[in-house]
Amino acid sequence: MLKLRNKLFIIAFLASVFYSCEGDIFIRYHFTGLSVENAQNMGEMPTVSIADSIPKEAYVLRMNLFPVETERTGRYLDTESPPFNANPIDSIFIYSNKKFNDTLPAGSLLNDLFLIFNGNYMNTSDLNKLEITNVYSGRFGDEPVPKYADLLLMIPPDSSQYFRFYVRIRLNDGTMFLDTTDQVKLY
Amino acid sequence: MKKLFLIGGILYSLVGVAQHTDDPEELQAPVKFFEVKVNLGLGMNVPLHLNKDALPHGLDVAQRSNTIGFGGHLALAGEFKRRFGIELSAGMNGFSFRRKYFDKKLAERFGNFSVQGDEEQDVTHSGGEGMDVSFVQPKLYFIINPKANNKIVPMVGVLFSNYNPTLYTYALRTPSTNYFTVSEIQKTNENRQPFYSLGLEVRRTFAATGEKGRISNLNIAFRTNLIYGKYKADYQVTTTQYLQNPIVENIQVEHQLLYLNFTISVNIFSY
Repeated sequence: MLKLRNKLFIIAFLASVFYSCEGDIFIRYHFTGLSVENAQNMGEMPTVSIADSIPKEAYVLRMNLFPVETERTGRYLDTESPPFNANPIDSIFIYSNKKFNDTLPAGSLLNDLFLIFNGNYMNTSDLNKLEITNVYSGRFGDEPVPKYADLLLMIPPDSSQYFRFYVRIRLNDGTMFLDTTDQVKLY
Repeated sequence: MKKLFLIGGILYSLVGVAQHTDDPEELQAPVKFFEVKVNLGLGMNVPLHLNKDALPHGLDVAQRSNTIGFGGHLALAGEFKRRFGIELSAGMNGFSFRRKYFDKKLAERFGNFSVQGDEEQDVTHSGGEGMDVSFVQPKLYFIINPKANNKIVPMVGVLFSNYNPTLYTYALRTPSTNYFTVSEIQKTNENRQPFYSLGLEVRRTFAATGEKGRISNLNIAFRTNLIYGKYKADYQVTTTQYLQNPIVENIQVEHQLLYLNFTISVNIFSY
């Protein structure tokens, strides 16, 4: 009888150990909004700027995307199994209120001038691929789900003047978000 | 001998000429068929380069830059005659780089520096001040080992290292701007020549029972090796400045490398 009880105890112990071993984290999320800000890339990483002027070679458009997690299982973060966006961005449209250069008058689509910066210069994405992730970023461990996307302005305007950028994003399910930056002088 | 090295591929060999013991007790000990050694090493590599500027931004893809490594390996050694043995060992060396000087120069020109290696290197880091890079280097040694106890043993040899990074990606950013370039460096061909080694081994034997099948002795040896070699490699460098088309260059670089290695070797049992 004692032996049987010991066996049962061992089986129960092993079962509890087995079930307590959780695997990689699975996170399901989706974006719920859009708020755009001016940012600058003068330091190591882009930071939000409230200044009324930013060097045009270092201008960054920050899109805050307000992610909401709908599911999380597992224990261990792993870049091999990044968070899953259940309703990813289908397209982004960026415009400005001023003429950018001779070929881009006010109201032109400026998507080709920006790159998505994913926290690592080796893993940028253009606005056609639309890869927004923290997997390549040093902050992945603390923030696996991207709260924002930084868009680097790679081709500056011809002249120094004040700009306001309009950003519209459309999600896979057709949801649209629109926001506008504060006016900023790119010099 | 050269063919042997080629067939063996990744082999490290040392051919020793030694002062042999004339100790009658030692010479009467039975021939050992093999023994197992645990070697722990500390290495400092001082690479030399002929034309490192040939690579974009002076970046290099060789093992280099004041490397200090620490590693260990298990060795199987056999003695075919009383005066000489053969040592075959395989192990892993862990190296840690501190490329401060290198990055300091880069930091003058670039605000961010990132490097990512292939699967052998498993390297990824970014930052401006300095860079710690670590990797594991598997290796195989083939050593003809003079039998001499309690002696200073001069050693000369030839080695092949299997350190073989094939792909690096560098990202360099102009300070305070969004502008950056990414250079992918792919090794396409390599003409590796043997590396030559000069060394000294100070050896001390603590016990010798001489009984077959049992622990027969305990050798502790301190090895110092100075290793020099050079090789040529072809690289394909693809540089992408964003929003512009990639530029592809084919270049050949000759590398000269100088290593200083210290190893403590302990044989734990032999038969």
